[in-house]
Amino acid sequence: MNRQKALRVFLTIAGLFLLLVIGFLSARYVIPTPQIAVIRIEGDIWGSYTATVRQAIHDAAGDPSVRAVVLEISSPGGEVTASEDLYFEVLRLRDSKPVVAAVNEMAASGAYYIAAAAEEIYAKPGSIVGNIGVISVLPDPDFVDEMLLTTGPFKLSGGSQVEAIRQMEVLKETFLACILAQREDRLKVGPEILSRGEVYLGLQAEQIGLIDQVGAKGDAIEAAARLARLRNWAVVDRTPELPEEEEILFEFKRQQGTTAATLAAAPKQFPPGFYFRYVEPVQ
Amino acid sequence: MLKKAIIILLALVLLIAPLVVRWLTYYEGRYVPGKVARPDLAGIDEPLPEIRPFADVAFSENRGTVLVDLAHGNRVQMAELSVLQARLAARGHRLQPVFDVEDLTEQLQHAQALVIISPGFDWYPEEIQSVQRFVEKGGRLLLVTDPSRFEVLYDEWGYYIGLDADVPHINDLASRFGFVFQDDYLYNTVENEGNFRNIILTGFADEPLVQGLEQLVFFAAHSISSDEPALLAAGGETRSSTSERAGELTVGLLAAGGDVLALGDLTFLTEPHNAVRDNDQFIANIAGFLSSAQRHYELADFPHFFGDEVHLVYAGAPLLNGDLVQEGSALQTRLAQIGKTLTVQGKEDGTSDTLFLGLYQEAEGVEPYLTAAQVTLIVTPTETLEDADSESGDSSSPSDEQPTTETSEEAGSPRGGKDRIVLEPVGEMSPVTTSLLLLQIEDERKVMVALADSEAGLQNALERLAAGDLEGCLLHEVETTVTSLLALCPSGEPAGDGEKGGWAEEEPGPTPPDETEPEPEEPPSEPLGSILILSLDEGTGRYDSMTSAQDYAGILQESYKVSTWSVAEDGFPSLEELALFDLSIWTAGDFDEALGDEASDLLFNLMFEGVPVILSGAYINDSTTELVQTDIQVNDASHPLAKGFEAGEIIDFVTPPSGSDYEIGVLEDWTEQDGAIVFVRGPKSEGSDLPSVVILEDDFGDFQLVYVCFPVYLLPQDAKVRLVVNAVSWLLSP
Repeated sequence: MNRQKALRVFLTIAGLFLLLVIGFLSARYVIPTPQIAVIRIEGDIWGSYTATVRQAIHDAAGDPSVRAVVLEISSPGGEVTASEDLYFEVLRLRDSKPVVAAVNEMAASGAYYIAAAAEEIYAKPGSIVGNIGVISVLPDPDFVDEMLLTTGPFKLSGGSQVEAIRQMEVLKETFLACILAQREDRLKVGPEILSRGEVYLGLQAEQIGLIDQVGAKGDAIEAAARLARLRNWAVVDRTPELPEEEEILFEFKRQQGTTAATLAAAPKQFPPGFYFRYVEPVQ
Repeated sequence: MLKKAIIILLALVLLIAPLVVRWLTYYEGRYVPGKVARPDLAGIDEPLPEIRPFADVAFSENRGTVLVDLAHGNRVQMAELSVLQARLAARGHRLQPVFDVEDLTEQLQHAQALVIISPGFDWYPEEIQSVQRFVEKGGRLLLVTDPSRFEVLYDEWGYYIGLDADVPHINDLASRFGFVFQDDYLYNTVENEGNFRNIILTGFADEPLVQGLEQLVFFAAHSISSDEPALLAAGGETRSSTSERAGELTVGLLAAGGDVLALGDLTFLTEPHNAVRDNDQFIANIAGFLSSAQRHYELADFPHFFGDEVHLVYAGAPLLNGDLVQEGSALQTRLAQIGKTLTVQGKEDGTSDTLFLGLYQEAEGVEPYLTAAQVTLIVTPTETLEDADSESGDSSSPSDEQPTTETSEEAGSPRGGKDRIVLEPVGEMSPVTTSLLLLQIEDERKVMVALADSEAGLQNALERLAAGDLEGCLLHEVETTVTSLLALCPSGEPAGDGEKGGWAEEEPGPTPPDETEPEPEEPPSEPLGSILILSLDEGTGRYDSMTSAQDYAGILQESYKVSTWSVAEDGFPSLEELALFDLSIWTAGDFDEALGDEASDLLFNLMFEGVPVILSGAYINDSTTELVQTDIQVNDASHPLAKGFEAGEIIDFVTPPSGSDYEIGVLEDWTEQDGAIVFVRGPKSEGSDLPSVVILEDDFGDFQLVYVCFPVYLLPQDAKVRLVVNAVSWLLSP
């Protein structure tokens, strides 16, 4: 009799212990280690590079283990639509997860456009931030040719130079509106000051409300964790890897750069179009 | 039962507890995303330009010229000024570009206004002075700069240095009128015309230039600093890019009593920017400003003060000799070159611009003009002279006993009837040595009177007028109801007869020496170049141990600075020493092996320094073949070296001192492709038709060598001189 009772007790205890082990093991799958995904945005922001970053943002949005995203930005901006694309992607991401931007050397023009979509922006005291505005190479004036015919006066150029200047104003206003939508309550200067296109050091940017706090990537990660209500977390690098041929092109574009001298000397080396791009000083 | 329930509960707790512990380990709570604001883009509109219709209503009978400076690297195209050009045309004025600085001073004499836009070169002091004088004489000046008109500067290695704005090149000139342009641009981020650089101007002075204007738009403009009040000012939130200063910033200015207009923007003048707001009206006002200059002319401005049509009237009946007719024709040509027509008329019509030419003796027709200028002529009329001539038989002297027909005084003058010009209140002058030039301006009509004592004096006066040379003339201005500008000028050297003074009647007037008789050619006062004659006289010569150094020197020393150098005495000169000369003549004569390796290298390097060389001698090539040569023949008579020689001409050598016929090295394997063959061995020479004088030069003319394969002292003197002079002239020609 006693032996049967002892066996029953043993089995009960063993069963309970097994349940504890099962519970413990399944918890790792049911509640994975929360991650803070870091996505780096570097160099010129342009077409296919944007698609790659956008995919990384999508992946982070769809991954339940990613509880927050930190955008680590080091970019002078780039194409208008590329910057706008990522701006709205970040806003969509924020519908489900907090996003914090961390500025490395620079988040200028289109890069700041993207950073402004984040809930909070961190930058180092010497980071370059701002340069809000549009830069453009105007289209060549249309001409009339006997052999090359069009059905409209601006078919070749897309519009007159005067019209292009006005479109720049529209883009500038759009840029400002997008910034103000996210940061108006924190900005301490008006749009007429921002539209001067100045760059600010991180310290200055904090004073005028362009960024939230001076700090490095770690601070941004902690802020993201705070927003996501995390106690512990893992940091994962979700920076997309570019395909080899795009890596080559990316590197080429990164090194190509444009300086004020280049622009002044031969503005037509910049393809016609509009850019949210900071032109670095001559080295 | 209860026991079972407890076990089940415990099982559930043990199953769930790790989840809870894990969740609490990682999470503080649940993240609830807030409302993400989306930007409101609906209210963003494209700023549209305010285009205002404009119709220019000006029309004018006046004619004039407005010059546009394009002689200082100006960063503007004439096509950009088409709107201004149209407004000026409506006001009877044309826009004329000036491409050459040397033309500027002359063209300013007839222009109403000068427009200077964004120069790329500095203005020299003398040029600035000519512009200042132009403005002082009533000309209008428009200075325009634009921040977008710059050039990018690179160093010699192609690296960027900086930007060259237009402002530094114009401020030397601008500062003479009391203002300077700032090297900045103005902008307004709050209120603008479609872009921060397109500033809206509403601050206007009370001046006719800005009458009727409400708003202008300047498309990137320099500001202007001056003590003068602004004509156009930008206020409000408009700032300067350099000073960040806001406030009243001047972008348009009137200076020099209203004759100089300065503007800090060019773009508003161009299409389509002219159509924005009141820009078109302002451009029309600027055209009115430029075309309404009140020029003050001087006699020295002849003939620019005339209008397009000028009448030439010979006062009295001067004897129109060939020279006088020629001068009249020259005047017509001179006026035609500046767009004016000079036609000869029998008499004045009282309304047209007129040029009177005549003698004092027959100046009754121009007396009203002289009177207005307070000039009185006391002269013996021609008829009286002729009467006196017929009585006395002397046609050259006025008779003191004959009553004079005076222009405005009675007979019995204080000086006993001697002819004179009385200029109130200055004094009296003898008309014999004096020509009179008078310009009278009444309203728009200009009348010029040129009088002299004789046809020769009249011709001299016209020459002075044509040259604008009033040096030595007494100048006088009289302002009554009309303006009279007078010049009394010496009319040339007296003939030497103290009693008569003035002209000897047979003397046609001072004539430049080269027109009267041919003068012998004299050597030029300055040498035509420097030549080094290098005598390759080391060792011994084959026959006479001679070089042609003395021959070359004798021929060339009169026209060139000739130096001689003997290799035997001083060795070879260095390349640097040789390169100091314009030309080098290496003469080896009959010396053997004159051109060794060292000399050849030196010659080679000298040629690449671009110094032309004549190389002559019997044994200066590497030929192993030596044939007797006793003559040469012209092979290419068209070459400059053969100038003065006939085609195919044969020139026999002279007998050298040794009496021997020279066996001379043959220039083997030389064809026309290697260089021109100007002379060949003559028919009496062995190896006739082989090259004897050839030219070696590169395709770019950087080095040239005349190769004379024999000692030139073998040529007869005449041919020798001709050949040497031809060779040197050709080598030293630019």
